Amino acid sequence: MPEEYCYPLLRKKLGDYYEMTWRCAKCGYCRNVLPSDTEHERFGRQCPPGERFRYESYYASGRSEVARRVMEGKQGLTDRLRHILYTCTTCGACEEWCGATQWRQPLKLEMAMRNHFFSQGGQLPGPLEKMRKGINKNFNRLNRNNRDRLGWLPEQEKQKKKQTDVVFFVGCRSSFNRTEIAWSAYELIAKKLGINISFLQDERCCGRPLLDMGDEKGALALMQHNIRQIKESGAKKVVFTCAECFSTFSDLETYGLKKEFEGVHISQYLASLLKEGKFSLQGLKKRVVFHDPCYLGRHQGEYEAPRTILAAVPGIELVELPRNRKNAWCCGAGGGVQEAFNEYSQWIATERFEEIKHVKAELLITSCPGCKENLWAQARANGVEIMDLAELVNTYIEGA
Amino acid sequence: MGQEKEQILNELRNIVGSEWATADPEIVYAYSREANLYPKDLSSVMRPPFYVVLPGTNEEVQKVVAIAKTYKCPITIQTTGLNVSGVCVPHRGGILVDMKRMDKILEIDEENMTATVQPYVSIARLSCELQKRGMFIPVPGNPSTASIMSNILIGLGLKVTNKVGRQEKGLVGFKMVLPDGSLFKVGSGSDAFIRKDFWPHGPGPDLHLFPIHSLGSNGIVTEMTIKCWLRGENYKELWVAYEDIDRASEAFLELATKEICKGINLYGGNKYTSYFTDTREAMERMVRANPEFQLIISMEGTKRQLAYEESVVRKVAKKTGGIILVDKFPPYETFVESHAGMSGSFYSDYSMKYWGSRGANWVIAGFSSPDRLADMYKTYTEAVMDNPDFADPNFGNGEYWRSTIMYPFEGGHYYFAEFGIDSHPGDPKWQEIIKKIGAVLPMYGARRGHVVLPFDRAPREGVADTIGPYRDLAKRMRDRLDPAGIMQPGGLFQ
Repeated sequence: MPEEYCYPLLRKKLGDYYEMTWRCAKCGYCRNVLPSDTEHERFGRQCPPGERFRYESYYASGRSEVARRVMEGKQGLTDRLRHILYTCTTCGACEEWCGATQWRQPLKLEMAMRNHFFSQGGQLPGPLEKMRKGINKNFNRLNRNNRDRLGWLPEQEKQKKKQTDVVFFVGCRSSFNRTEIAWSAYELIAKKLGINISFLQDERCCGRPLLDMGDEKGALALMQHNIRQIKESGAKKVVFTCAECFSTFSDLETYGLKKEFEGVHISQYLASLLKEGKFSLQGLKKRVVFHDPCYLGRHQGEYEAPRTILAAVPGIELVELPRNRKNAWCCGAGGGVQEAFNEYSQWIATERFEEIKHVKAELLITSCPGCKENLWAQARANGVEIMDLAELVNTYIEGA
Repeated sequence: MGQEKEQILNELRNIVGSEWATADPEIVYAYSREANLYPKDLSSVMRPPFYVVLPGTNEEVQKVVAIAKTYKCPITIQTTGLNVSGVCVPHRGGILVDMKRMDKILEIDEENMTATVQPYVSIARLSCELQKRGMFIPVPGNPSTASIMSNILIGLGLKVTNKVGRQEKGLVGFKMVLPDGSLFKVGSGSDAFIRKDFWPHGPGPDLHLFPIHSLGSNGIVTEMTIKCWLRGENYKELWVAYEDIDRASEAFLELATKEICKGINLYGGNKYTSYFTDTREAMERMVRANPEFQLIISMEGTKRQLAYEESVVRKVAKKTGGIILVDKFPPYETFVESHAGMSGSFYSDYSMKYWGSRGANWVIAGFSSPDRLADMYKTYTEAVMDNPDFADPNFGNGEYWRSTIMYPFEGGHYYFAEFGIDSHPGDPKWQEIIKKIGAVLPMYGARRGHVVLPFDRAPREGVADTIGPYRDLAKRMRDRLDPAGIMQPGGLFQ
């Protein structure tokens, strides 16, 4: 095939995607669960902004047309364009199936568009602009004092800081909002499993929120800082509870940064310890579902580690949601949507809960603080218990 | 925005709500292109609509059409937007009616074996529900992300047409908003004494195929009741390999005219191998390793029926020198779903792979009488071999591949033959090749089907003589219904 009709896997600039925008076959794979995986007609579609706003421009196929219009200089940085761009949760469903069937990268195009929008002076949605300023000032997405990152940790534990092979990268959400996840992970690894872990001296936001905004430069600065911190700690392995942080660190090389450590998500870490026979779990008689975080699943391809752990719980009735693994419906927290468009973000969570109700689950497990946070209100409203995987293991570990 | 334009937008918003009607350029521009418009040189024909409106009910569609009629504003209809004929792209601006909000399966009637759907129900969504109930709907080789309703309205042949007939035969009833804004209902449900769609004919003259192939120019279909088929208790597939088109078509014709088996298809070139290969290199290896022609036979029914059909197939294969392949070769298994379920299956997934890459880009898709099939294939092959881009006459040069599928229709009364040169549709050279090769095939009996390509502006030779009166009547009917010509302008009658 002539070079003109091929496109490399990684592109950096918006203009590099121009040829690709002509390639959309309008097949609809970007917006649907893979047809052969469709289990229920109610849950056969996959693109949150498309399904909520319904205009073609909100689906990957339409964004492609809008992107070309931008590249041709026919489209200004309008409110509607901003809405189209920033209502995408970056869940990656379009990238998954469009990539598999058409060899295109609609999510990379979306991120390039956001980068263009931001770098050309486009105005971010209000809450995102506020968050960006907060990150620049306090180095965390919640605009809290960054020195309070370990506020969830008892004082006597903080004193134990020492150089270890394993570092626990807590992440903003676990540090400030979902501290039960941070504590569960810490208690489980450090106390119950007796593994020496430490924290970074000055952990900062991983950079994902800025990438979502299109501020790649700001994100790179944060990434570089955290890499330096990890290097200084001497750690060989970094454990993440947040799927977004994990994904950002896994993709460092994409941004031209060198990674000299092994980054593992807590589900992977626990699955490997389970395999080594380091722990076992108590019985739990509940109907349980696992919600695949987009940044753990589609972005990093990890679907089985959490399920391996859940399958090891005696008595558990593990059921799958109609949209699972590569076809999972987003929780609504990604891409800055949770902050920028809260009502719409909750609509996405409600849609997810339609599935959870459909399979009559009693306990919902996820493995990302963002997912837990966004699904929490719906879980409460529907009387479904929700836990992070780290919490579950910490609660049901044998001999705890 | 001009005053009248503003007024039309406001009226549309009054009907559907302000959220569901817009004239924002970022929205309307996304409706200006579909899969057919790959090449950049066609960008001159890309015309975005003035407005996009998303009605949610039949009544809203009626009111939108009434506004269009009042202002003589053209209407273009779009469901899933998956089209290769330029049908769902506006030709003259106007209102684009996007049917995405009408997306429900209204009923699956297991007793009468029908399903009633709205326009934005995809083949996959309906199929997955039907399969739970032991039924299926036959669909052509489309991705199952396409709208089942639109698929039937412009549908053609399919792998099981020899058994179940052409796709439009599955149409049992519909509701349609006519260009004057009235709601038109066809099917036994429109009969006051029956009130239930399970039989296609209503009272009086039969109009149940009224919207078929009209490409939206007769109105907007808002609901459709479709006939569903039972899946057999047992299923078996046999592959018979040939290296010679004469022997292959002899076996193919004999089996088709016996009216047995669920599906009988003759595949040639790269067509069947591209279904289950992910890369061009893998496809090339598969093409070279596989026989030139494959007769793919699918059988479904009782054990006794299968045993009988298999014995006939084996007998015919023996007589014509065909080799029955081992049907356990894993990639071939993908065809089981394809022929058994027809949709919501692997079939559409791998068909999409080739469509988006070196796809099902047909030189010609035509109907033919049985005795012309082998001749036609030879002509096509010669035309391919004459082309310098096919360095290897048997297999192409890796960029362009020849491929064929033939399906029998109506118990083998006539045949649908697809001859293709597969490559990327955005490749200008590919377009030159298909024009050249496409020109020679009709001389050998291929009749171009009723696929209407509005962007193909070249006058068709012989159209006026052969189908002139037919089209004339259709046009007079349409002019009566839609004197201002607002419905789907540019689609059918230009």
